[in-house]
Amino acid sequence: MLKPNWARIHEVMALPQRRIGMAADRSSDADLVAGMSRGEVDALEELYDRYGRLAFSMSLKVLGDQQRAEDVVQETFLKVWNAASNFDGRKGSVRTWLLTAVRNRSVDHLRGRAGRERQEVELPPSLVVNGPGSDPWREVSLAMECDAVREAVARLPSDQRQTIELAYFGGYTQREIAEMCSVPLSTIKGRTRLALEKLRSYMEGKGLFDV
Amino acid sequence: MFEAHEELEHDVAALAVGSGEPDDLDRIRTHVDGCVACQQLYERLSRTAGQLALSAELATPPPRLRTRIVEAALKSRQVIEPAPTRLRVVPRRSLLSPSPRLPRAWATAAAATMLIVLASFGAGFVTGHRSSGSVVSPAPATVQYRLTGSGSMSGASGQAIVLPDNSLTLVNFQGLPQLASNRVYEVWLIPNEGAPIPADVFSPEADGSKVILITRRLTGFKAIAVTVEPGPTGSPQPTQQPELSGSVA
Repeated sequence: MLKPNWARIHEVMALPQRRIGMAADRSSDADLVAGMSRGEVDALEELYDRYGRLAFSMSLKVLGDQQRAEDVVQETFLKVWNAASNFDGRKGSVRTWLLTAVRNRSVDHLRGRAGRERQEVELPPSLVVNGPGSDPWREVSLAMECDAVREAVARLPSDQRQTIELAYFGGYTQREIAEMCSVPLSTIKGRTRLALEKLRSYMEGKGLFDV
Repeated sequence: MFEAHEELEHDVAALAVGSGEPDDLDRIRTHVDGCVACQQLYERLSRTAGQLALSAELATPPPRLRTRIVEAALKSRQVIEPAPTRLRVVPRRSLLSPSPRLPRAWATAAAATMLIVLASFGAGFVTGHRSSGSVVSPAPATVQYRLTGSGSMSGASGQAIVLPDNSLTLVNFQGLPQLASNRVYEVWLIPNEGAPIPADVFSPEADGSKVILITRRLTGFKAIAVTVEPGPTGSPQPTQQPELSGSVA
């Protein structure tokens, strides 16, 4: 039996770890979903490697609870795995499909709590770190995209930004937001529409392809 | 129709961002389905709303989540598409009806799922070398490796079964000592060159057994090793000499 030379192993630990992901970054998202519909586990793993961190971050922001966020991400990927053959690329990207499912499921979990418990949206600083083992180019591209979206949200008027964040990450309905902000329901509807149109306009200007 | 459109146009944005009133959703969706302008508006705004997910600060999920998802997917697909009856090697009821709330049952289910997967390849288990297939039909071979314990883990052992395409490895541990509540077992893949790669963390069942799935190819690795590390997430690097390991070269 081979006995690892741990002294040697510790000597080389300072070296960057090799990426040992199973599937090469050679397939489009749609290809991966097609592979999943054929039961190819590699495709599921590659999709997770691409969007698992994003999905987890999204769910964590909604739920504020790491364990519950893990549960939601697992449920969602499982749902995507089992419903892969239903994916229609004409209705949007795989990423949007996946993240929308994560968001909706996270909100469902949140609503399942007694008294509609709400969480702060800020993450614990210790959790805001970069993940290992990702495609560096994809990471850079994603980071730029995230920066652009954050900037777009930050540029919204505060009342529109608040409305959007309460709706999307807080899971509140328009009527609840209107009550919280003490404004007419029609005002909240208008703010939501305006905020989304401004975000779209800004993102288009930045060349974000998925808008 | 026009009046409905005027009235419902702003509700399309609420639908897109997921904040519509539950009682109104059917009414809004019905309108969107029948109104080309609102349909286009909805598609445009829902894609924009989908981008909001990118405004969340990025956080890293624990490595175990990836394994959990693959295990659940395999289990799910087996339930949906059961293997042909002639290839079942264990009574189906005992394999596919575990209580998910019982860790032991879950471990059994994971192992059973793997067995079904292996059975679906018509494969026999072979120790240390490739098999020539099964009596059912010619099939790709699986490879099995043994992990043996020493020192404080001298009573422990492991059995690693690699799928024929090398995409999945099931490791079935036995005789693992129980750990303090703040410690976990961490599984490492030892490459031919470079640092050990963390593969999974786990706590053993009450009887010292555990089944895990490694979802990475073993190509380029020479050994699987297990150490005891701080829980619940383990260590990025091993902090002790492994007392349970086996060659996979």
